[in-house]
Amino acid sequence: MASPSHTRTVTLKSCDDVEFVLDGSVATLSQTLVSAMAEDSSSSDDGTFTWCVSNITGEVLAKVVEFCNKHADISSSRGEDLKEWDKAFISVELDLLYDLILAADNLNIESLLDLTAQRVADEIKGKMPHEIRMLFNIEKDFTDEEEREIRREHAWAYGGESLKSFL
Amino acid sequence: MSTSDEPTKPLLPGLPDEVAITCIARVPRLFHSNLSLVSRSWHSLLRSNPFFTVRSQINASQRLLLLNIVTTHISFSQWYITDPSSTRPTNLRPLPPSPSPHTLCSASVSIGPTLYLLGGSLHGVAQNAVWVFDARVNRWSAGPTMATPRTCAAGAVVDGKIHVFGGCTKEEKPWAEVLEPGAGDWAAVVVTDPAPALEWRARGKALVVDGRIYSGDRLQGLCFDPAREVGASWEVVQGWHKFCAKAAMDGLIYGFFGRRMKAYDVRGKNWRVVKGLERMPWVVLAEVGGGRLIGVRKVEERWRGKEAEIAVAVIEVEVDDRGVLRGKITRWADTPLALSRWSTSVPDFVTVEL
Repeated sequence: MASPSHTRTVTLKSCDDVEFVLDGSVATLSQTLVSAMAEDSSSSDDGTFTWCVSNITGEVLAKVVEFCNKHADISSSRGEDLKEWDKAFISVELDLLYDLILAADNLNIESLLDLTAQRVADEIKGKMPHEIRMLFNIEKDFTDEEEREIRREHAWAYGGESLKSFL
Repeated sequence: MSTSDEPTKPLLPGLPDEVAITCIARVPRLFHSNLSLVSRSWHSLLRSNPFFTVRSQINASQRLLLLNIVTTHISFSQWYITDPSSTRPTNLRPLPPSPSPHTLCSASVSIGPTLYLLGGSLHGVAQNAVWVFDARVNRWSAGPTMATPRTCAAGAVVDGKIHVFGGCTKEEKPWAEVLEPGAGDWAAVVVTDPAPALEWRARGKALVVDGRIYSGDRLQGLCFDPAREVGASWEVVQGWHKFCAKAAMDGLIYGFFGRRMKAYDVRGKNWRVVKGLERMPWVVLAEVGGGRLIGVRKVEERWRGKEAEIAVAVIEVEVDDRGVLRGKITRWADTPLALSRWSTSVPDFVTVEL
């Protein structure tokens, strides 16, 4: 049986057959890998473990591996520097951002999920409803009457007028 | 709005809803009114329990301050909401009028996003009604009625249960009651030896430190431990009744002796001076998380005649090397709400989590 502590390397294989070799300690950022390694009894004695990530492409997995390597490296994982690094790392197009969220969810990497979900929230923040719809390709399914009704509710619920002037 | 016969559309096309919720839940409360205008599925999400549960799980919940302002000469009680963390000038916004706006001296408590008003006095008659305000949907509703009518009772939440006691005479039974919200009605709590006064009424808010409830009337402070089988033994807190605008934070109870801020250490049972905040006559002090208190005061502006304004400040308290507590005001917020100078008061407040 291979446990995370004595697995030296983990090979991640993307759905388009790109392979990445990670240090065992780096792989522990992924709860999915931790439990997979704990359950695995067939792994070889040389301390390697292979895991196929069925729905993540090599391009996305490369980013995920880059993130895990950076965050597992204790010497660099300090405060402001890491924040700056994260900021640069997450400056990506929406398509790739979604792929990263799905990968973080699939591999259960909490810090990556936090970072990517926060980036989506930052995109939503401060935008008007029609801008949010446009950016995220959401269909407007209210009738005008329903929209007026909700706005009326909001006059109480959130102080809609003052918010509008602020935005 | 009926959506039942249509399949629910994804919140963010391309992401499973479960994942989309953890994204949307991170957006600050200030922007939620815009979010619910995005689509039907967003609108219903913003009113749903799971949404607020996720916000709390990922530490994205915000503490908002609810202030009760009473126009004394017409006995009219109105609640306002404000976001103390907002970097904009704080805007006190009225809640919908409560179903019983002329009831005064209710005890108020909050659990998560919900405010409970317990009893109170309506035209001089003690009430046993409970009104519940859900800040998620911005609506009042009636809660389970208490067995005993109470005016100026002490109310506090310990382990998710609402405890209420006093606000009535010693003879009235039950003198203390407890409610587990969502799990039925109030249950009587047997207190063999209620508080010393024949007719015990709380002054100021009851506070909870280490699972024990601190309250007091105009003569003395008392501590009540709801975990005990019978709340027979009360601990008297010296000096409590001279101590105003109290708030509990990190095991200390802050408040004012006249214009001096002090802190009561419940473990050491002693009073400590808080430096740096002298000469500030606060009417309300509320703990809002993150080591911060919110102070509220009425500022009288003489040149404007009979008007006063509510001023809200963020206060941080630090302990220096020698163990001295030092308070400082980190931010003043402008509040545009003008009050009639003589006839308004701020008798109550709670914080809710959204």
